[in-house]
Amino acid sequence: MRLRFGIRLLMMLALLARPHAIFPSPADFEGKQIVGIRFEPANQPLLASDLAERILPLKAGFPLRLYEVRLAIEDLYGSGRYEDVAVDASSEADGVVITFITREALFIRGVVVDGVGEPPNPGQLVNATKLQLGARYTESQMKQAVESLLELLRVNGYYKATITPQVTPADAQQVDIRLQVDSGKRAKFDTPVIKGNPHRSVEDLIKATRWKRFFGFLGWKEVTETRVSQGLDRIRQTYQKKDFLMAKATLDRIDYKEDANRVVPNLDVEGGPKVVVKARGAKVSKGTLRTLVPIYEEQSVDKDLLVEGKRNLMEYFESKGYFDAAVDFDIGKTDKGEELIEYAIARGNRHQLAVLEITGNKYFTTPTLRERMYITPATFIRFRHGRYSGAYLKRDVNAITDLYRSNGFRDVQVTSTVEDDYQGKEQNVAVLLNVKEGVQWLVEKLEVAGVSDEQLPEIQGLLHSTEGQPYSDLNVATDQDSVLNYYYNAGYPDATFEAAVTPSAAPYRMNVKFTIKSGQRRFVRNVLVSGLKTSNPDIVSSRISLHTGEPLSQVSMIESQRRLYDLGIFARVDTALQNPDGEEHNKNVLYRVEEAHKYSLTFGFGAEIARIGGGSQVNLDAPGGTAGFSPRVSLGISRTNFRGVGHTVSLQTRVSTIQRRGVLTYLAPQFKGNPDKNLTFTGIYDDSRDIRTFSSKRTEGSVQLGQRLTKANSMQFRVGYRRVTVDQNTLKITPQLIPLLSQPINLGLVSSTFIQDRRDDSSDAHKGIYNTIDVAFAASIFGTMQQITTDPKTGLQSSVPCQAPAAGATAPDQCGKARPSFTRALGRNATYHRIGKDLIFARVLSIGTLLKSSAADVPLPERFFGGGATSHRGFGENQAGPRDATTGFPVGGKALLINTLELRFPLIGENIGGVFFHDAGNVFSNVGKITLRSSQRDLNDFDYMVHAVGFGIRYRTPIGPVRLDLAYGINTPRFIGFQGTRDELLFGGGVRTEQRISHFQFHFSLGQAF
Amino acid sequence: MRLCLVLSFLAVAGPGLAEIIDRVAVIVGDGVITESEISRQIRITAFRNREKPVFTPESRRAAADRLVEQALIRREIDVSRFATATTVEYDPIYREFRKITYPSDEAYKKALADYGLIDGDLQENFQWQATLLKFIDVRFRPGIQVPESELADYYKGKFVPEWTKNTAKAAPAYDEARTDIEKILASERTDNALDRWLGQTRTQTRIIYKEEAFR
Repeated sequence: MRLRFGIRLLMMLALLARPHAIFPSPADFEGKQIVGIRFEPANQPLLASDLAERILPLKAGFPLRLYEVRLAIEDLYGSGRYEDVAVDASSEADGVVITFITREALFIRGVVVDGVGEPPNPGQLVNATKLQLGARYTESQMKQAVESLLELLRVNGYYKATITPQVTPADAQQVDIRLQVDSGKRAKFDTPVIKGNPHRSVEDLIKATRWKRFFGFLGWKEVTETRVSQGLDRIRQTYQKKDFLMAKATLDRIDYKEDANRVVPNLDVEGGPKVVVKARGAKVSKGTLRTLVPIYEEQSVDKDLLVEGKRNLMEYFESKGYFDAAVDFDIGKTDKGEELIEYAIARGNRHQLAVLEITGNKYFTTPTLRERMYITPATFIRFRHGRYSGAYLKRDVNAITDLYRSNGFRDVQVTSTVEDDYQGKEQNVAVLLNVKEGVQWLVEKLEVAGVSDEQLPEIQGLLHSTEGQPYSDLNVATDQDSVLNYYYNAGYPDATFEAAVTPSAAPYRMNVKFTIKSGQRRFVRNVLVSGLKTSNPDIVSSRISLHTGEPLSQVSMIESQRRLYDLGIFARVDTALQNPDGEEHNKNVLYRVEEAHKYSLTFGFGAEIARIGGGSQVNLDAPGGTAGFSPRVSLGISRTNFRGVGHTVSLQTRVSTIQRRGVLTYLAPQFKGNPDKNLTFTGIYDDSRDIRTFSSKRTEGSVQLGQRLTKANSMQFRVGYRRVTVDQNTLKITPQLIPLLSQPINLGLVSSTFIQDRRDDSSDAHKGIYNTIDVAFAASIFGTMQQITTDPKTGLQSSVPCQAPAAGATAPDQCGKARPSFTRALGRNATYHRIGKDLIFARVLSIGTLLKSSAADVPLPERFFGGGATSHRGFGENQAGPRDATTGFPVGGKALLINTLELRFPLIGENIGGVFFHDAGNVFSNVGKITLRSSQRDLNDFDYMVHAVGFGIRYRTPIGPVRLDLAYGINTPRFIGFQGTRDELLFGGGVRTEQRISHFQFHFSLGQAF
Repeated sequence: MRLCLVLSFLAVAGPGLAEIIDRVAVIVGDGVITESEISRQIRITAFRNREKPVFTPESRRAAADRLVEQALIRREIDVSRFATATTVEYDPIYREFRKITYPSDEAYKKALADYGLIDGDLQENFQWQATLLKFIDVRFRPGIQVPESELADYYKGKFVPEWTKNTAKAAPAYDEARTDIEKILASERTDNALDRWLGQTRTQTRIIYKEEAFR
């Protein structure tokens, strides 16, 4: 016992006597030789080379300097990879060992908010957290995120919501954040407290908010942020409608009744005086006043808005040709004591901008300048009075000035003169613009500093400000953007660019010096992908073009993101740098994906109005078709990301009175990771009567490989097999041909299509070329055996059916069987040319031929049919070409030649255009029968060119122009038709009459004709 | 036997014990202030004030607060590419300090050594002081305007009473004192503007004090 006490005492004394030996101070280590450097933990988040660089000059064998330790800590933390760093030193026999004790920083990999019914939607919830992909994760941020989220939930009625954050560590210093929300029940509205002087009853205001269900019979609605703001808007609107334009309705606060889970909005509502806005001196509709005077839109009345209204009214009248219009406004009271805002308008005489003349321009041609101008002289129909106003003129003068300045004409002066009663013609206005170009400044000498010899040619290739070229501030700014983009994309995010410009000794010359500091180059450390659930990681990684060790290119990051979106399987793809603010040479690149819903359902309905009527199953009266109406319903279902490999399976169905169609597709986009290839498997069932002559059922299976060769050129290769059954009860042809043409047909087709698309806009082209060549071969091996007849005299074989042999006799020798085999080629060449500023000349030539290579004839459904909105507009849908000699219904041809010319022009304003067109051509019996002859020889001659001219209107919409074409067929075919029923056709009766395709055709559809 | 073991432990344990020689004390945005930096700050301040350095947790915390403000201002200076003070700008006040406090080189060097500092530490401190004053003058002073009415109020309410109290003489006329009053009030407002900016910047910056560094 005594001994123990003695030991304790001894130890205490020893500690007191040698404090430095047992608890050394940092200064005790200063200058001692470093004999070892360790890290705890041994695995550090920085790359070994980066780590060694950051702790320099602390090295084994060198003396320890405490300020160097401090710098090392600062540098390590500056990398962004650490949350804490401490340095520990311990004496060894021959020096000191220092140990870096570190704690890694964490970075956000993904944020998920669960357990909340919409609204707010998932995107709003995640955005509210303000937790960014790749950013450093901190507890304080998490607290803020929870607070922000609770606030968002409260404004959406979830007052009882609680949030449980879950932070799950992941690889590469990442964490997944899940905010599990127990939202509780959404609160409902309660009777609001109305303050102020609303001039209305509370009931009226509540009714305006629509916060009650079904006029209040079903109680109050649940609270959402949108409902609150919409309620306030609606209150304001009710005042607006009654001209209380100064009315105010604001939300003061919301009180929450916890026991009842209800909220009481406290509203400040001020009805204010009634404001009457009138126009005096000219007729302006109330609607126009509402559009032009912004007090309605802003829901406020102040002088600035009234002045803006005055300016808008002036421009409105100027645009109508009242170029001298003067507008002012008075504020007063009406007899009833209401506020009166009266715009006094003096329109003056109506003018016409007859002349727009530009003089003095040499460097730029007048059309070049006109292209940049908004003011337009009067034209027939489109701009009856021209387009002119003071503001437009000012804008145009500035546009021309800027154009010259950007091309080195630093001293350019553009002046405008407006002459009324031009050349003595009353009300004619001329705008005369005079350009004093001055001298063009050029770059005398260009110096690019800070760039290596290897990079210099590439950088110079990006520059506009090269020696001998025009000097302008715009060019310098453009050069700055180009150079910095080049560096950013090459992995230099800290690159800087400075331009110094000094006048040269030579007049009108500038010396330009660009100094570029590239800064530290950054590289890709790793590419980290997260968020995949069912998708195969390979389909993502194969689309990311950034790889470890490569320069960190922003373009590649964005491009890879685009490719991932293009897969069509992700609802969201975010990309970011991990540790964006950290000073690291090698950065992790993050891709966070959110897989889209796997199933999507589409439903649509519509109608077709065209010459699709007539010729019903029992009546054969109208082989040329009559105006008809066909309602249609479509339903589609798609399964994206099938088996997690980014493929899509979809079923599209359409049912109308003339068609029942189902298409099952399996699409493999970016086939085998190649963005230029896609593979499609298709199965089709089609039961249609779009050709008036017959109804057919088609079942088809095909495989297509699509390949984009260049930006403009692509190829498609297809192999398909189809079975077509023609319903013999619907065939409206010569009875003797029915058994033959109603035979079920099996066809195996190998086809290829080349597409060249150089149009500027595929839905409404203004210039460019569009060519397609389609070649298909139907091999006899897959075809259905057909009866054929051999002419004993000529030896020619044809698909005329054999006559049944007489009783007891054998079949004649000339009867046989063959399978159909043919080659089908169809070429199309379309070009689009701009004429002047507004006119577009477009043309398309389509040539096709069917060449049979067996005795069996080409089956009816495989023949060319033509005519209609996207073909020859002189015909109704599929009405061109050869017709049945008995019934007059079209039976298709084996050759096709159609040429279309169109002149497209603006008609009224910006959105309505017009078209004059000429369609010429036909579907011919065979390629040898193609002719340019325009006359029909007899009632059985359909092999001639049919010409049609017409006029169309186009209304521009975001999905392409809506089109109405009216065509007049000049030499439409006459033919023998049959008036009677099908029974009469088969069993006798009915009348054969001469008929003619109507001269007038109309076509209504979406998109240009070609 | 047991006694021998204890003695031998005491003989060898001292040199082998590990000591934290530096660590992160405060995180300010993307940067840190280390424990040694806080100590250095205390020593410099004490040296300039000719006081004994005090390393209590409270004084360390106060020094850390000052360094946090410095870090925030330094960051703003970097972002706005503001030029730091040149030797010409800070050298006069540095020399003046040495002349007044440590006239001889020996005394100066000894005092530096006693405080664990080097001459570079002090020069850097003077440079920072000059940079800071320049920065405040450029960043905050131009926006400060003192209305005439406030100058007059200050003259009547504060200047005259204090002058009378301190000098027992009649205060100078308003026009004579106006420039000085304007400087005083402008200076107060500039300081207020700086404080407001610092307060605002603090709320927008991640600042974490590591408690283990202040125990």
